[in-house]
Amino acid sequence: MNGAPITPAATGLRQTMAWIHAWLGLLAGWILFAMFLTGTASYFRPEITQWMQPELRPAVVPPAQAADAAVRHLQKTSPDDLQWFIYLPDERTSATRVFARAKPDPDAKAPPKRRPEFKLDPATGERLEARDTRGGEHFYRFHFQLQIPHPWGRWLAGVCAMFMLTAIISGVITHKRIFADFFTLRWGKGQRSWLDAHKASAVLALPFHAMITYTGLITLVVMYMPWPIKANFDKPDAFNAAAYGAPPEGKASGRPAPLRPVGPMIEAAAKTWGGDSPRTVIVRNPNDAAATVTVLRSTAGRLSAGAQSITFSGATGERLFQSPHAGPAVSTAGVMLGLHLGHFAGPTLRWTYFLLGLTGTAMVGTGLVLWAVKRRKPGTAPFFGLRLVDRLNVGTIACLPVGMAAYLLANRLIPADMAGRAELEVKAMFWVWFGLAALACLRPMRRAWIETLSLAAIAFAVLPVVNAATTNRGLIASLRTGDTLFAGFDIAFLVTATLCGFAAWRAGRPQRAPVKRQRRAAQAPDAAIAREPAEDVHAA
Amino acid sequence: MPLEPGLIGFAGLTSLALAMKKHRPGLNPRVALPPLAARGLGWALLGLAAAAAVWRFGAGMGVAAWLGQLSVAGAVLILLISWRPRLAPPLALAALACAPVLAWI
Repeated sequence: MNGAPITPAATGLRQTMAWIHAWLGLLAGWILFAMFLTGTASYFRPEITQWMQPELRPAVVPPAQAADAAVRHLQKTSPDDLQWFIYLPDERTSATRVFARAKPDPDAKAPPKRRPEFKLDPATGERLEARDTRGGEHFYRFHFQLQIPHPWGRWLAGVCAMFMLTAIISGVITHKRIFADFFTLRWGKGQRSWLDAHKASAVLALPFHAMITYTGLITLVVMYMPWPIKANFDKPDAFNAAAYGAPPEGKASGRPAPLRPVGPMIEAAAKTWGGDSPRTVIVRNPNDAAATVTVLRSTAGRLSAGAQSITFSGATGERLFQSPHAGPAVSTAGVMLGLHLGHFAGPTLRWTYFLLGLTGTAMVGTGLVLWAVKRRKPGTAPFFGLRLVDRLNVGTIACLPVGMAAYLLANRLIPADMAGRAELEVKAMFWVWFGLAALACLRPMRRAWIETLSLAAIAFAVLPVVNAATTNRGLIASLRTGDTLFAGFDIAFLVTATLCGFAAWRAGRPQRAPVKRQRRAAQAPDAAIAREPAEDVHAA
Repeated sequence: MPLEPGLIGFAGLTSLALAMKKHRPGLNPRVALPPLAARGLGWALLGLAAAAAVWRFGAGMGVAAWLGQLSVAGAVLILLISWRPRLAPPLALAALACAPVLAWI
């Protein structure tokens, strides 16, 4: 690579793998960085949503009571709908979410209209008014749909994940000193330090990287490879019924019958599931003799994210259907999805996942920087490809965090009752991200790194201040009232700001210490590294 | 807080680093174990961490918790070794001492 003629002696397996690793990693790297960072943030998806609706502080009640309150509300607003969907609160989401689907219009062919979703107070069933926002859902959706129209975003994410998997395997083959270099990280040594950091972040969390990439691909495998199902089942519904069992989806009988209270059904379901709380309640044909109430099991605390459900008759309360014991394939799929989403994790494991996700982000980021650092020759002007990679690196690694901070800042700064504010928040993220990336192209390379990283530090440092100024849940107030969620966010913002500031300081250090730089220049460390025998093929 | 797998794992990884010629002088432990003993102790502690994870989380989630917390402990250790290597052995001992306390409460 890099212009050097490939001699037969140099074309070993490792060299080939290093070539694959460098180029596949580079091509997918920027998107992978964004997928890793926003995906990592998504481990706190419900928490981010809570943070982005600071006016909501509903009381915590048992799921059965919340379901009864929600049904009371829906009986008042839309008693004749086809379906009610009720998402019950748990320790991570404070409000009940509901939406309804109207009865299909017999004339129109379109599927029944979905009414807008809203939030209810779990205790009273009263409608909660809060600012319109996409919350943590935005980061989650972006990390596999990339804000590109369906299905192209998912396809692009899938291709990048396949590149990632290839890069992991080729990287392991390339890296011949996995155990000898296990704890090696040397600072301030240019290319060698970047290589150390890349290898350390990759090797130490290798089980996580391999797992998260593979399970991410598997999550959408039915979309990427639909043929096995197509070959064996006429309709997707037939496959779903065969794989997961099909709850009865009866038609309304037309005979009215009062809907029995759902609370006891939820308690009965929880008993069947060994005390696991139900997550979702779906009421079909309410107030009809053929009404059904389907209760879905929560995935919290279970490794498998596979859906389990029990269906009751809404008129008699009789148990009509229970999802069958999952077969090995369905169980495997459920565990894969569960491992990827991490819903099973309690707070400790969730933070573990979060830190591992950051390690993965660091691995991709250091890999991208390493590609550029390796090809930079002192004293010569960088070639076009290198300049492009440099700019894209700044635009992704330093500017995406600023964009994410802008999304959160926009949540606090856009008036709470403004129309279309949820879309404005999303726009704030992308305009700031891409706008800053474009502006950074106007600056000299080193200044671009320093300035964008400093901006990231400032943006995150400002978040707790803006939060304290625009809500009554600032850091001091939340520490005083024991509001761990809001205090946690403020502290996490400050830590992120510190890390970005540290990165900016490191990026700017040699220029601020001219004496030291002259001394180092006299020793010509870069040339020395170039002359040293290659430690492994990464550095070759 | 179920942090025992990570704490014991941190001690185990430190012990493994002590067994390596490259890191031994930097870590400068008060009590110098022979490399072979340090390696054996390290692997034994990693095994103990796995047992703690399974005890805390059950078999399936325990494996995820063990690997995950071990990775984070490794990342902390490598940053520590690159910054203040001498702090690693005493911190490993402290982590090991904290683990039973956490298990108790």
